[in-house]
Amino acid sequence: MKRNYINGSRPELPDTGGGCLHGSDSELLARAQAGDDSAFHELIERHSASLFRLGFLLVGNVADAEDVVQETLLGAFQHLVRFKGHSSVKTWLTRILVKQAARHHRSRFRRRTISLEETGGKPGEAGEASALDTQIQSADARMDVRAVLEALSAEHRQVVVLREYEGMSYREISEVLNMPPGTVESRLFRAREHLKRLLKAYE
Amino acid sequence: MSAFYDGQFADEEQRGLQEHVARCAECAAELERLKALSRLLACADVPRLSPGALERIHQAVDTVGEKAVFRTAQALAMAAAVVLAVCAVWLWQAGGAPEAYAAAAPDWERAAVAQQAVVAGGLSAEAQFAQWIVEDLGGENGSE
Repeated sequence: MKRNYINGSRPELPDTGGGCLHGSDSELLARAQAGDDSAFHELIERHSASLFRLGFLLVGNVADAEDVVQETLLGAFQHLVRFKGHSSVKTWLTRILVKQAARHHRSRFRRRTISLEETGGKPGEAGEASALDTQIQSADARMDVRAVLEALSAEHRQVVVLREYEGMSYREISEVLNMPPGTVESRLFRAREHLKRLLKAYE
Repeated sequence: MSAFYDGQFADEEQRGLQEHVARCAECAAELERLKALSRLLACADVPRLSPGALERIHQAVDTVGEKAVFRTAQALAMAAAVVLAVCAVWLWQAGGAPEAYAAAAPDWERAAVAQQAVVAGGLSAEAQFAQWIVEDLGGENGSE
Protein backbone atom coordinates (compact mmCIF):
# COMPACT_ATOMS: atom_id res chain seq x y z
CA MET A 1 0.00 0.00 0.00
CA LYS A 2 1.37 3.42 -0.99
CA ARG A 3 1.04 6.21 1.52
CA ASN A 4 1.23 9.95 1.02
CA TYR A 5 2.81 11.79 3.90
CA ILE A 6 3.64 15.01 2.03
CA ASN A 7 3.10 18.24 3.94
CA GLY A 8 2.81 16.34 7.18
CA SER A 9 -0.74 15.22 6.47
CA ARG A 10 -1.64 11.95 8.06
CA PRO A 11 -3.43 9.62 5.66
CA GLU A 12 -6.35 7.46 6.60
CA LEU A 13 -4.50 4.43 7.80
CA PRO A 14 -6.09 1.02 7.29
CA ASP A 15 -8.13 -0.46 10.09
CA THR A 16 -5.77 -3.08 11.39
CA GLY A 17 -8.11 -4.03 14.16
CA GLY A 18 -5.43 -3.14 16.63
CA GLY A 19 -6.93 0.06 17.91
CA CYS A 20 -5.37 3.54 17.71
CA LEU A 21 -1.71 4.16 16.92
CA HIS A 22 -0.94 5.95 20.13
CA GLY A 23 1.11 4.13 22.66
CA SER A 24 4.67 3.88 23.77
CA ASP A 25 7.50 3.22 21.36
CA SER A 26 7.84 -0.28 22.81
CA GLU A 27 4.16 -1.02 22.22
CA LEU A 28 4.38 0.21 18.64
CA LEU A 29 7.48 -1.83 17.98
CA ALA A 30 5.87 -4.95 19.44
CA ARG A 31 2.92 -4.44 17.10
CA ALA A 32 5.30 -3.93 14.18
CA GLN A 33 7.06 -7.17 15.09
CA ALA A 34 3.65 -8.87 15.02
CA GLY A 35 3.11 -7.67 11.45
CA ASP A 36 1.38 -4.31 11.91
CA ASP A 37 3.26 -2.15 9.41
CA SER A 38 1.26 0.95 10.31
CA ALA A 39 2.79 0.81 13.79
CA PHE A 40 6.26 1.04 12.25
CA HIS A 41 5.15 3.96 10.09
CA GLU A 42 4.09 5.72 13.29
CA LEU A 43 7.57 5.13 14.69
CA ILE A 44 9.00 6.70 11.53
CA GLU A 45 6.86 9.78 12.11
CA ARG A 46 8.03 10.02 15.70
CA HIS A 47 11.75 9.53 15.22
CA SER A 48 12.71 10.54 11.69
CA ALA A 49 13.23 14.23 12.53
CA SER A 50 15.59 13.60 15.44
CA LEU A 51 17.38 10.84 13.53
CA PHE A 52 17.90 13.21 10.61
CA ARG A 53 19.27 15.91 12.91
CA LEU A 54 21.69 13.44 14.44
CA GLY A 55 22.63 12.03 11.06
CA PHE A 56 23.27 15.50 9.65
CA LEU A 57 25.55 16.41 12.54
CA LEU A 58 27.47 13.18 12.05
CA VAL A 59 27.86 13.18 8.26
CA GLY A 60 27.77 16.90 7.56
CA ASN A 61 25.44 17.21 4.58
CA VAL A 62 21.74 16.83 3.80
CA ALA A 63 21.96 14.21 1.05
CA ASP A 64 24.06 11.80 3.08
CA ALA A 65 21.97 12.43 6.17
CA GLU A 66 18.79 11.52 4.28
CA ASP A 67 20.45 8.35 2.98
CA VAL A 68 21.66 7.43 6.45
CA VAL A 69 18.21 7.94 8.00
CA GLN A 70 16.51 5.90 5.27
CA GLU A 71 19.05 3.08 5.62
CA THR A 72 18.62 3.17 9.38
CA LEU A 73 14.84 2.89 9.30
CA LEU A 74 14.84 0.30 6.51
CA GLY A 75 17.41 -1.75 8.38
CA ALA A 76 15.37 -1.53 11.56
CA PHE A 77 12.22 -2.59 9.69
CA GLN A 78 13.92 -5.55 8.06
CA HIS A 79 15.43 -6.73 11.33
CA LEU A 80 12.61 -6.03 13.76
CA VAL A 81 13.07 -9.44 15.35
CA ARG A 82 16.51 -8.37 16.58
CA PHE A 83 15.04 -5.83 18.99
CA LYS A 84 14.72 -7.64 22.30
CA GLY A 85 13.68 -4.70 24.47
CA HIS A 86 16.97 -4.47 26.40
CA SER A 87 17.18 -0.78 25.48
CA SER A 88 14.68 1.84 24.44
CA VAL A 89 13.53 1.99 20.82
CA LYS A 90 15.18 5.40 20.48
CA THR A 91 18.51 4.04 21.71
CA TRP A 92 18.22 1.09 19.33
CA LEU A 93 17.50 3.32 16.34
CA THR A 94 20.27 5.72 17.37
CA ARG A 95 22.73 2.84 17.57
CA ILE A 96 21.85 1.74 14.03
CA LEU A 97 22.12 5.29 12.74
CA VAL A 98 25.54 5.90 14.30
CA LYS A 99 26.85 2.75 12.60
CA GLN A 100 25.36 3.77 9.26
CA ALA A 101 26.82 7.27 9.60
CA ALA A 102 30.25 5.85 10.39
CA ARG A 103 30.03 3.65 7.31
CA HIS A 104 29.08 6.64 5.18
CA HIS A 105 31.91 8.68 6.62
CA ARG A 106 34.47 5.96 5.94
CA SER A 107 33.20 5.64 2.39
CA ARG A 108 33.42 9.40 1.87
CA PHE A 109 36.91 9.53 3.41
CA ARG A 110 38.08 6.83 1.00
CA ARG A 111 36.61 8.72 -1.95
CA ARG A 112 38.26 11.94 -0.77
CA THR A 113 41.63 10.20 -0.31
CA ILE A 114 41.45 8.64 -3.75
CA SER A 115 40.49 12.01 -5.24
CA LEU A 116 43.46 13.74 -3.60
CA GLU A 117 45.84 11.06 -4.82
CA GLU A 118 44.49 11.31 -8.33
CA THR A 119 45.01 15.08 -8.38
CA GLY A 120 48.53 14.77 -7.00
CA GLY A 121 47.65 15.72 -3.46
CA LYS A 122 49.08 13.99 -0.44
CA PRO A 123 46.90 11.40 1.31
CA GLY A 124 47.68 13.00 4.64
CA GLU A 125 45.86 16.11 3.53
CA ALA A 126 42.61 14.24 3.92
CA GLY A 127 43.30 13.93 7.63
CA GLU A 128 41.51 15.50 10.55
CA ALA A 129 43.38 18.77 11.09
CA SER A 130 43.72 19.49 7.37
CA ALA A 131 39.96 19.45 6.90
CA LEU A 132 39.57 22.36 9.32
CA ASP A 133 42.50 24.26 7.80
CA THR A 134 40.83 24.02 4.43
CA GLN A 135 37.54 25.19 5.84
CA ILE A 136 39.14 28.11 7.65
CA GLN A 137 41.02 29.22 4.58
CA SER A 138 37.94 29.22 2.39
CA ALA A 139 35.34 30.44 4.88
CA ASP A 140 34.80 33.96 6.10
CA ALA A 141 35.52 35.03 9.67
CA ARG A 142 32.17 33.82 10.86
CA MET A 143 32.28 30.74 13.00
CA ASP A 144 31.31 27.56 11.17
CA VAL A 145 30.36 25.07 13.83
CA ARG A 146 29.68 22.37 11.30
CA ALA A 147 33.20 22.71 9.95
CA VAL A 148 34.57 22.33 13.46
CA LEU A 149 32.52 19.18 14.01
CA GLU A 150 33.60 17.85 10.64
CA ALA A 151 37.22 18.31 11.67
CA LEU A 152 36.81 15.93 14.60
CA SER A 153 37.48 12.25 14.22
CA ALA A 154 34.38 10.08 13.82
CA GLU A 155 34.77 8.71 17.37
CA HIS A 156 35.03 12.19 18.91
CA ARG A 157 32.21 13.56 16.82
CA GLN A 158 29.90 10.72 17.91
CA VAL A 159 30.30 11.37 21.64
CA VAL A 160 30.08 15.16 21.25
CA VAL A 161 26.91 15.01 19.16
CA LEU A 162 25.22 12.44 21.38
CA ARG A 163 26.04 14.44 24.52
CA GLU A 164 25.74 18.05 23.36
CA TYR A 165 22.88 17.72 20.87
CA GLU A 166 20.96 14.65 22.01
CA GLY A 167 21.53 15.27 25.72
CA MET A 168 22.20 11.60 26.34
CA SER A 169 23.72 10.50 29.61
CA TYR A 170 27.02 8.67 29.63
CA ARG A 171 25.13 5.42 30.27
CA GLU A 172 22.88 5.99 27.26
CA ILE A 173 25.85 6.90 25.07
CA SER A 174 27.65 3.76 26.22
CA GLU A 175 24.62 1.68 25.15
CA VAL A 176 24.53 3.34 21.74
CA LEU A 177 28.26 3.04 21.11
CA ASN A 178 28.61 -0.29 22.91
CA MET A 179 31.47 0.82 25.14
CA PRO A 180 31.91 1.28 28.90
CA PRO A 181 30.72 4.59 30.42
CA GLY A 182 34.30 5.26 31.51
CA THR A 183 35.41 5.18 27.88
CA VAL A 184 32.60 7.58 26.99
CA GLU A 185 33.80 9.98 29.68
CA SER A 186 37.43 9.92 28.60
CA ARG A 187 36.57 10.16 24.91
CA LEU A 188 34.24 13.10 25.56
CA PHE A 189 36.92 14.86 27.60
CA ARG A 190 39.46 14.49 24.78
CA ALA A 191 36.91 15.55 22.18
CA ARG A 192 36.14 18.74 24.09
CA GLU A 193 39.84 19.49 24.51
CA HIS A 194 40.28 19.07 20.77
CA LEU A 195 37.28 21.33 20.09
CA LYS A 196 38.76 24.05 22.26
CA ARG A 197 42.02 23.88 20.30
CA LEU A 198 40.17 23.98 16.99
CA LEU A 199 37.99 26.89 18.07
CA LYS A 200 41.05 28.91 19.04
CA ALA A 201 41.59 29.39 15.31
CA TYR A 202 38.50 31.58 15.29
CA GLU A 203 39.67 33.82 18.12
CA MET B 1 35.29 18.60 35.38
CA SER B 2 33.76 17.30 32.15
CA ALA B 3 31.79 14.59 33.95
CA PHE B 4 30.75 17.08 36.67
CA TYR B 5 29.55 19.49 33.99
CA ASP B 6 27.49 16.67 32.47
CA GLY B 7 25.96 15.83 35.86
CA GLN B 8 27.21 12.28 35.81
CA PHE B 9 28.07 11.98 39.48
CA ALA B 10 25.72 10.92 42.26
CA ASP B 11 23.84 13.75 43.98
CA GLU B 12 26.10 13.93 46.99
CA GLU B 13 29.24 13.97 44.87
CA GLN B 14 27.78 16.63 42.60
CA ARG B 15 27.03 18.84 45.59
CA GLY B 16 30.54 18.36 46.90
CA LEU B 17 32.07 19.27 43.57
CA GLN B 18 29.77 22.26 43.26
CA GLU B 19 31.06 23.55 46.58
CA HIS B 20 34.63 23.04 45.39
CA VAL B 21 34.01 24.93 42.13
CA ALA B 22 32.62 27.83 44.17
CA ARG B 23 35.98 28.09 45.92
CA CYS B 24 38.39 27.18 43.08
CA ALA B 25 38.98 29.82 40.39
CA GLU B 26 40.70 27.39 38.03
CA CYS B 27 37.84 24.86 38.13
CA ALA B 28 35.27 27.64 37.83
CA ALA B 29 37.07 28.95 34.73
CA GLU B 30 37.13 25.45 33.19
CA LEU B 31 33.42 25.10 33.90
CA GLU B 32 32.76 28.40 32.12
CA ARG B 33 34.80 27.24 29.11
CA LEU B 34 32.68 24.07 28.90
CA LYS B 35 29.49 26.12 29.07
CA ALA B 36 30.77 28.45 26.36
CA LEU B 37 31.64 25.45 24.20
CA SER B 38 28.09 24.10 24.57
CA ARG B 39 26.63 27.49 23.62
CA LEU B 40 28.85 27.60 20.57
CA LEU B 41 27.92 24.09 19.46
CA ALA B 42 24.23 24.94 19.88
CA CYS B 43 24.65 27.57 17.15
CA ALA B 44 25.11 24.88 14.51
CA ASP B 45 22.73 25.38 11.64
CA VAL B 46 20.87 22.11 11.30
CA PRO B 47 18.26 21.78 8.54
CA ARG B 48 15.04 19.86 8.95
CA LEU B 49 14.09 16.64 7.23
CA SER B 50 12.14 17.58 4.12
CA PRO B 51 8.58 16.25 3.62
CA GLY B 52 9.72 14.67 0.37
CA ALA B 53 12.51 12.78 2.09
CA LEU B 54 10.10 11.60 4.79
CA GLU B 55 7.68 10.38 2.11
CA ARG B 56 10.50 8.46 0.40
CA ILE B 57 11.31 6.74 3.67
CA HIS B 58 7.70 5.65 4.14
CA GLN B 59 7.51 4.39 0.56
CA ALA B 60 10.79 2.51 0.87
CA VAL B 61 9.46 0.71 3.95
CA ASP B 62 6.24 -0.11 2.11
CA THR B 63 8.20 -1.53 -0.83
CA VAL B 64 10.31 -3.70 1.45
CA GLY B 65 7.18 -4.93 3.20
CA GLU B 66 5.49 -5.89 -0.08
CA LYS B 67 8.60 -7.73 -1.28
CA ALA B 68 8.76 -9.65 1.99
CA VAL B 69 5.11 -10.78 1.60
CA PHE B 70 5.80 -11.87 -1.99
CA ARG B 71 8.88 -13.83 -0.95
CA THR B 72 6.91 -15.57 1.81
CA ALA B 73 4.14 -16.51 -0.65
CA GLN B 74 6.72 -17.85 -3.07
CA ALA B 75 8.37 -19.96 -0.39
CA LEU B 76 5.01 -21.40 0.74
CA ALA B 77 4.03 -22.25 -2.84
CA MET B 78 7.32 -24.04 -3.41
CA ALA B 79 6.95 -25.95 -0.16
CA ALA B 80 3.43 -27.01 -1.14
CA ALA B 81 4.64 -28.14 -4.57
CA VAL B 82 7.40 -30.23 -2.99
CA VAL B 83 4.95 -31.85 -0.57
CA LEU B 84 2.55 -32.67 -3.42
CA ALA B 85 5.35 -34.14 -5.52
CA VAL B 86 6.57 -36.29 -2.65
CA CYS B 87 3.03 -37.52 -1.92
CA ALA B 88 2.45 -38.33 -5.58
CA VAL B 89 5.65 -40.38 -5.82
CA TRP B 90 4.85 -42.18 -2.56
CA LEU B 91 1.34 -43.06 -3.68
CA TRP B 92 2.56 -44.31 -7.03
CA GLN B 93 5.18 -46.50 -5.40
CA ALA B 94 2.74 -47.80 -2.74
CA GLY B 95 0.18 -48.75 -5.48
CA GLY B 96 2.71 -51.09 -7.17
CA ALA B 97 2.59 -52.81 -10.63
CA PRO B 98 -0.71 -54.31 -11.89
CA GLU B 99 0.78 -57.78 -11.79
CA ALA B 100 1.85 -57.38 -8.24
CA TYR B 101 -1.60 -56.11 -7.36
CA ALA B 102 -3.20 -59.00 -9.11
CA ALA B 103 -0.98 -61.45 -7.30
CA ALA B 104 -1.96 -59.96 -3.98
CA ALA B 105 -5.72 -60.22 -4.64
CA PRO B 106 -7.60 -63.10 -3.00
CA ASP B 107 -8.59 -66.14 -5.12
CA TRP B 108 -12.29 -65.32 -5.21
CA GLU B 109 -11.63 -61.83 -6.46
CA ARG B 110 -9.34 -63.05 -9.21
CA ALA B 111 -11.89 -65.65 -10.21
CA ALA B 112 -14.70 -63.10 -10.27
CA VAL B 113 -12.85 -60.87 -12.67
CA ALA B 114 -11.31 -63.61 -14.82
CA GLN B 115 -12.29 -63.41 -18.47
CA GLN B 116 -12.31 -67.16 -18.94
CA ALA B 117 -13.44 -70.02 -16.75
CA VAL B 118 -10.75 -71.45 -14.60
CA VAL B 119 -10.34 -75.16 -14.11
CA ALA B 120 -12.31 -75.99 -10.95
CA GLY B 121 -9.53 -77.99 -9.51
CA GLY B 122 -7.31 -75.01 -9.51
CA LEU B 123 -9.52 -72.85 -7.34
CA SER B 124 -10.51 -72.77 -3.74
CA ALA B 125 -14.14 -73.23 -2.70
CA GLU B 126 -14.58 -69.51 -2.35
CA ALA B 127 -13.16 -68.88 -5.78
CA GLN B 128 -15.35 -71.54 -7.36
CA PHE B 129 -18.39 -70.00 -5.73
CA ALA B 130 -17.45 -66.55 -6.96
CA GLN B 131 -16.96 -67.87 -10.48
CA TRP B 132 -20.32 -69.66 -10.39
CA ILE B 133 -22.00 -66.34 -9.45
CA VAL B 134 -20.32 -64.57 -12.31
CA GLU B 135 -21.38 -67.32 -14.76
CA ASP B 136 -24.93 -67.20 -13.42
CA LEU B 137 -25.08 -63.48 -13.93
CA GLY B 138 -23.90 -64.04 -17.46
CA GLY B 139 -26.59 -66.61 -18.20
CA GLU B 140 -24.23 -69.53 -18.42
CA ASN B 141 -25.99 -71.48 -15.67
CA GLY B 142 -29.40 -71.43 -17.35
CA SER B 143 -30.79 -68.53 -15.28
CA GLU B 144 -32.58 -65.71 -16.96
